[in-house]
Amino acid sequence: MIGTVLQVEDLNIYYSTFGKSKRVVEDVSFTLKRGEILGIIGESGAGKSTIGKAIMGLIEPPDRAEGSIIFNGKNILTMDRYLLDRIRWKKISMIFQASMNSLNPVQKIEDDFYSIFRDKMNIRDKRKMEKMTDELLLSVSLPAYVKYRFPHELSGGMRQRTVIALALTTSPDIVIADEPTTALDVITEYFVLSILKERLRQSGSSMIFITHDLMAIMYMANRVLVMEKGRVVESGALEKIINEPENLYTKMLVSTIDR
Amino acid sequence: MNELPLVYMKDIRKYFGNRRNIVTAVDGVSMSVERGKNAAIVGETGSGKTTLGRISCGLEYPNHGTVMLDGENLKSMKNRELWKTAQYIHQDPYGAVDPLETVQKILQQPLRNLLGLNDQEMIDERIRHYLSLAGLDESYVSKRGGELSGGEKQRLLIARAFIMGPKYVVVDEPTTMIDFIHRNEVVETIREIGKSNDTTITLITHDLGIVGKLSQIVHIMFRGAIIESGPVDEVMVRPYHPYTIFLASIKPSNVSEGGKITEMVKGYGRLRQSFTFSRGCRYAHLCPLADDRCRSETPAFEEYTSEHFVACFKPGEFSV
Ligand SMILES: Nc1ncnc2c1ncn2[C@@H]1O[C@H](COP(=O)(O)OP(=O)(O)OP(=O)(O)O)[C@@H](O)[C@H]1O
Ligand SMILES: Nc1ncnc2c1ncn2[C@@H]1O[C@H](COP(=O)(O)OP(=O)(O)OP(=O)(O)O)[C@@H](O)[C@H]1O
Ligand SMILES: [Mg+2]
Ligand SMILES: [Mg+2]
Repeated sequence: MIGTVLQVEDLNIYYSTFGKSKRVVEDVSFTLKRGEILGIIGESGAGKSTIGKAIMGLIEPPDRAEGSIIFNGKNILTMDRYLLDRIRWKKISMIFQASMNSLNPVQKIEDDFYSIFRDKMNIRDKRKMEKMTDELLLSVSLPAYVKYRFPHELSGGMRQRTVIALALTTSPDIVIADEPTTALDVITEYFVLSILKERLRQSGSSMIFITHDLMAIMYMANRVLVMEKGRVVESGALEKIINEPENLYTKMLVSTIDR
Repeated sequence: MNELPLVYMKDIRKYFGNRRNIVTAVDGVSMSVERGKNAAIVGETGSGKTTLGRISCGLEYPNHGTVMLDGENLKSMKNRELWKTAQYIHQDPYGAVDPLETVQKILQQPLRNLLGLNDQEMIDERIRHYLSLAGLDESYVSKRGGELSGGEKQRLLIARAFIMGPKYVVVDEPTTMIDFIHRNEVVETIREIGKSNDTTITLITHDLGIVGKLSQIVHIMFRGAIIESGPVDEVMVRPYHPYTIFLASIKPSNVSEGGKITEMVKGYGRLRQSFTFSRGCRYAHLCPLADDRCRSETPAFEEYTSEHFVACFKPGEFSV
């Protein structure tokens, strides 16, 4: 077990709509090792974001998650709220697919950073908070004045990069990145990814990287899971998935790579 | 009247902000969209693509310049008229789809309120038709916005824009959450709906791969200005501007740690934040070819070869 930071076993997730329950994640198992970047790819609606939400402990009744997600010896799915709150954001953070839309619209960007510093890291010195914010913004190629802006004053890509910086603030053990770079041009995307990779390495953090972007997967991931209709249909080292795919969907996907 | 292009924009400027800091989002852009000739706007994040796209369909007013849509000055157009003529597909599907509303409601409202349809059977038929064109089957009608995945939301937004039968649609990053196999399908669908409905499209994207599948003309934006434009085949095959050349060189096949492109990207990213544009070429501080002239004079946006425009003193000289 040494070297494993997260163990997902027999995960099944059901959404309930108008009283009807529908399974959207089926018997998914995988492990995440320390320092590893695990890519998840797959069709729209395959259940990728839902898995991310489950790891963050965000599946709530009437929806239901069964199986286990073990982090530090404890099952996230059965953890009490108090413990969960201590882990969330501090130990496991998530860049939501809705990142462009997930910043608090009525507060300035600096307040998003400062509340993490205060609540999760116990840092209160104004100077220090400012300096750390500037550094984090710079690391995603954003100028320091962005902290004085409101979210609606930023472009889609600027908001997305802000959310990436926020997710890195606590240097968590695990970062779940759900389509983090959809609004970025390739040059900026590639730059931001290179910084992400460097920071993960420095802090020894692991990442679950959910994306449709094959360039990003090829640059970032060590291992890849391929999902189709709620199931993992193929998994393996990046090179294997890219060069010798077995599953039909994976084959089609890989054939679209502009080599 | 039909001699004017569908969209005509002249010397558009748009500023945002307050006294403390002013942002120039669009800095003197002129651009037209001809009927039946789809355009694309490509460029760096924050370069003003969304702002320009929104101005072109009347969702945002410029501080300076003229916008004519379908032969009419936008200033004198009524909102109702405007929404029937032009539609905009939002870049952020999570912000644009009401999580509590059902798909049926989302699609039906504009049909009733703007087009004045009230034959429910016809409305339902139309909704089914456009949903299926966008790749969502009938079962989605009763789902709520919040129950859709990212890619499903994007498909819904496509259906919502085209169901109105507009003459002009701006699609802002429409396929970012759709995998590469289906991306081509969706883009082709957008093109087909456009063609059969006589709708002209402006695509905003950073995915160079889909530009040619939908558009004939491409405009490259950098820091509030169009720095290169021309027929897609031309610009993609023989880019002139060093920024475009750099952008086009980044492909899955050459993203390896320690490689030349990776180092260039890192250098570029580090240089970028520390700079505010004042004079000269707006790309000069990032351009490996820049000399004194580039840093002091502004290159004009000129036709360098037939229909292929570029703002650069050294067009085509850069290579990766
Ligand atoms: N809150 C919800 N209630 C009911 N159904 C939902 C909910 N959220 C998602 N779904 C459905 O569950 C399935 C899986 O959704 P999920 O968001 O996990 O897909 P995804 O793989 O992340 O897709 P994408 O790549 O498009 O983001 C989809 O069919 C979606 O319609
Ligand atoms: N409502 C606003 N208030 C203040 N500034 C704004 C507003 N909208 C846009 N801006 C600024 O204008 C500039 C251009 O933004 P725009 O959204 O047009 O860029 P973009 O090219 O679409 O970027 P992206 O690819 O990241 O979506 C950015 O610097 C942004 O911060
Ligand atoms: Mg998703
Ligand atoms: Mg934009």
